[in-house]
Amino acid sequence: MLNGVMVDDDNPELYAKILSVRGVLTFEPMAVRPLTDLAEEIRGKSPRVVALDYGLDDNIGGDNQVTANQTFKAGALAQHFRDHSSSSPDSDFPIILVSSVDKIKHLFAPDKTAHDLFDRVYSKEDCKNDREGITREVVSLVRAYEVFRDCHGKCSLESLFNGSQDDADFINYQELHLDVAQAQAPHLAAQYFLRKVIDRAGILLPLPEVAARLGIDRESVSNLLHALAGSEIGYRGVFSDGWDRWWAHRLDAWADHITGTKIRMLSASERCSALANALEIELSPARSTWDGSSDFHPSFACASCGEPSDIRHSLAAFDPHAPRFSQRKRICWACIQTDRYLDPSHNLIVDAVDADLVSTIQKHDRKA
Amino acid sequence: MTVEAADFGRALAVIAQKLQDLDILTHNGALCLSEEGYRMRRMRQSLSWDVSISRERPIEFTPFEYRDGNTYHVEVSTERIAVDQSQEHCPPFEALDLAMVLLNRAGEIVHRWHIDRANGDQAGPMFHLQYGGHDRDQRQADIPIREPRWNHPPIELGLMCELVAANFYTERWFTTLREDRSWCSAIQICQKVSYTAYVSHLSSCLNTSYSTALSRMWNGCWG
Repeated sequence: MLNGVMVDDDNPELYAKILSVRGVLTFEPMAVRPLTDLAEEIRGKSPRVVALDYGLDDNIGGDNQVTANQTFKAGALAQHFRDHSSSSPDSDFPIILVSSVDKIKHLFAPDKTAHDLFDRVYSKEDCKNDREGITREVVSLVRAYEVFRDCHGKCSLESLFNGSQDDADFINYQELHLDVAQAQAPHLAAQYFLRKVIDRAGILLPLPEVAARLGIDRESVSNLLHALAGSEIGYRGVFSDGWDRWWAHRLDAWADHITGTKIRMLSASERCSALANALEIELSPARSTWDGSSDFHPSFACASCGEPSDIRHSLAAFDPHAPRFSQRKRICWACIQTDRYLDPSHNLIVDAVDADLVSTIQKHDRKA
Repeated sequence: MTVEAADFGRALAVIAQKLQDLDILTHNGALCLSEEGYRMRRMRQSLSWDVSISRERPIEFTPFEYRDGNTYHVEVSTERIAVDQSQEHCPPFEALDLAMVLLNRAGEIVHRWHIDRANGDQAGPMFHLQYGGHDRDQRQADIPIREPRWNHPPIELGLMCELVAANFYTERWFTTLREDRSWCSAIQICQKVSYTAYVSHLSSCLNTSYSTALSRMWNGCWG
């Protein structure tokens, strides 16, 4: 049984219960006390994961044994744990932020120095509404840390990805060797892998990107999953128990093989038709968010709406930290014209190189 | 149809970024190209400019594996490209000597091509593509037979980058660059400078029965 700790200055019992998974992971609730005392007590429990509410300084007294001048926010406690794990990597553990949407938006989001301290950020609202999905991710995070701890900074990329010799060319990047395989603390490896490999399309693809590459709409891609599940395209390496991903190069090779052609040269409707015929299943083609046509060449999922999109009707997003092995983010014209990409949850800005096209697109007549 | 230096400079900067984003240009290669772009932007509305990119600090493309299993990379340099758009009947290149070299892993030149404007009374088309042709201080390495010089439209840095991307990074160029609006706009600006007068002259050659296109585009016979 895995053990975790949930620290909250207001009813830690509630979210400790929500985040626990029967027979797998139990979160112990803890109220707030002076930082070093709390940190020591938590470390003494050898937790496999620690969850923190962001504003640990809102309530004083009662179960919270801090005075007004002893209060602190989650970032300070997280930083304390990270400092300790740098010298004692075997005791490293994932730290997740579990806080209200308002606190995340108005307090955590502006506090950029705290962002790197947390493996994942979950709103309390999402924890209630998507308990199964979030607990699945948390357990996966714990298991991933075990993997990184066990290889002691000498991980094999092939083993982490659960790949084969044939995958070597697609994972053999210097950044992955230095920042993951040779990372000196599990949290460094885990964060890099999660943010750059799992969260970004590149070596691995999330489902919307699979739909875009295959030119099928997101609703009917579930029909395809059965066929994909039987193949080697599904990713089964670290974090795969929490995040469904597919190998990009294996997907491309599979699609080219079963259609007998370079699938990317075909339009969405042609790809869909070729796949449906080859697999003998029903599929619907992806449609351009701009003009509703399926006679377009999608190659990625829009970073704003997630719909299959093509280069021609999209703009580059400002994406300065994209590693070489990942796809750069783009925003479809429909999201540009409707300003949907400006939703704060997307955290998207149009790259300066394409910025002068925004006003042009906003004046275009849109057919869809 | 003239292009101001600032617009041309912006185009080069866009090309540099787009190619770097796709890992087609190295960081240094993109820096080299974008620095030229920024320099031209400071020239604002000028219709004339000079460019040179040394062999020691070329526009460098990322290494790629060829189907023979070996790794190569491309470098582009130019002794001088001098643009003067004051004359309309002739492509606006007072000087043009743009080289593309393909090197192996050991840094040895595998092959070299260059786009030239013919010098002085040099025999050949005024604007030509030529194989080989080493720089002045490496003449001993030249292939012994310099011909043929192919009649070819003048191209400058931006169009050369497009050519390299299309030939050596075909999938990335085909699936990502070709339809990128900003990329296309930037290349269009380069095309305006390079092709406008050339295409106009070539078209007029097609309607001339007493001569041929090659003849009328020969050095000293342009007109």
